Amino acid sequence: MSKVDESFVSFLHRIVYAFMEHAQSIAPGASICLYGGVSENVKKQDEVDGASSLNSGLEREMDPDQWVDRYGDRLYKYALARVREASLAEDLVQETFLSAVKAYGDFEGRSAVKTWLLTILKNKIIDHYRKVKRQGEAVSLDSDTDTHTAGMTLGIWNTFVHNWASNPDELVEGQEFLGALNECFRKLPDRYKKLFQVKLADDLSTEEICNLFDISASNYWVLLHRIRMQLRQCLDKNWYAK
Amino acid sequence: MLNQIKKCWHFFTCERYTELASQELDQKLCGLDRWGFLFHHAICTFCRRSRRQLKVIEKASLKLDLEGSLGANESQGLSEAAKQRIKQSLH
Repeated sequence: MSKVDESFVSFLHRIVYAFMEHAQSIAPGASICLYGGVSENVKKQDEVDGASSLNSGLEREMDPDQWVDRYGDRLYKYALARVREASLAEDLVQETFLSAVKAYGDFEGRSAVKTWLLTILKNKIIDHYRKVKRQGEAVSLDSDTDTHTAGMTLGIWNTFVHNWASNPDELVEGQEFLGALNECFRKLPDRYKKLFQVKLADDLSTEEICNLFDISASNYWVLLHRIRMQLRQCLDKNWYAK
Repeated sequence: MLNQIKKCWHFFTCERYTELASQELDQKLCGLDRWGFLFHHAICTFCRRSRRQLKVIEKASLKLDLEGSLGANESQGLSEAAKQRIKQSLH
């Protein structure tokens, strides 16, 4: 979707959201979901008893207990994959929910609650890395002595490079491929995982990431290249070959 | 002299191409790097395929990361005690 399309959709969403807020104030019997229009089932229920299950969708989304039950596991797995300590991951998830409850008034509903919570969690994790770095503990990557690029010898391919798919976009939607990628990612050395995950979080510039890990820009690009080539080789062996 | 030859050789290698393909995912290539990249892209089938593969890996990794699944072990989850503790802290 182009940027123009995204802006248009975002603009439409704001209009719908403003309408929903206005409708709530003048017609409490109307049942409205926070993230959509008026659902058919909710409309029928409303016609039958005129009740205000109106805010049932809204209340469910606003209920922090529902958040913990619905999103707690996902957030915990995300945090654990990054910080590798169960108790620290639990603390980060708790802080995420606390921040979300405080900031809910500012939440405009432009993204799903899950995405919003994940964004808060990502920032908490990055703050944790920064704190650890300030305390002088090792966030920095170990000096990388491995100079070998996966799949290459003397700069030339030493393996056949397959054509994975005629339509690469279909691969990204395929659960088998995503599962294989996840497995390959979990096999990466911890230092590579950390760097790649911080990079994907997209909240830090290249300079900030280099600062966080105490590496130069050229070293950063080299490491990213090695990570991607290792993932490529792993997928070629463990997904394509099967 | 030997270092100059190595640098020259490296400039035209598939390894250099993949380094630039990886960099291209995050920032635009400029100058000599861009032209060297395009030249190699035109002549090397394996490298063209590898570039597509790197793009797919990047897209898929972003998708997994947005879902919160990247690197996660599906069998892990918050314990009931942890969930209760978190709920209590929210009230």
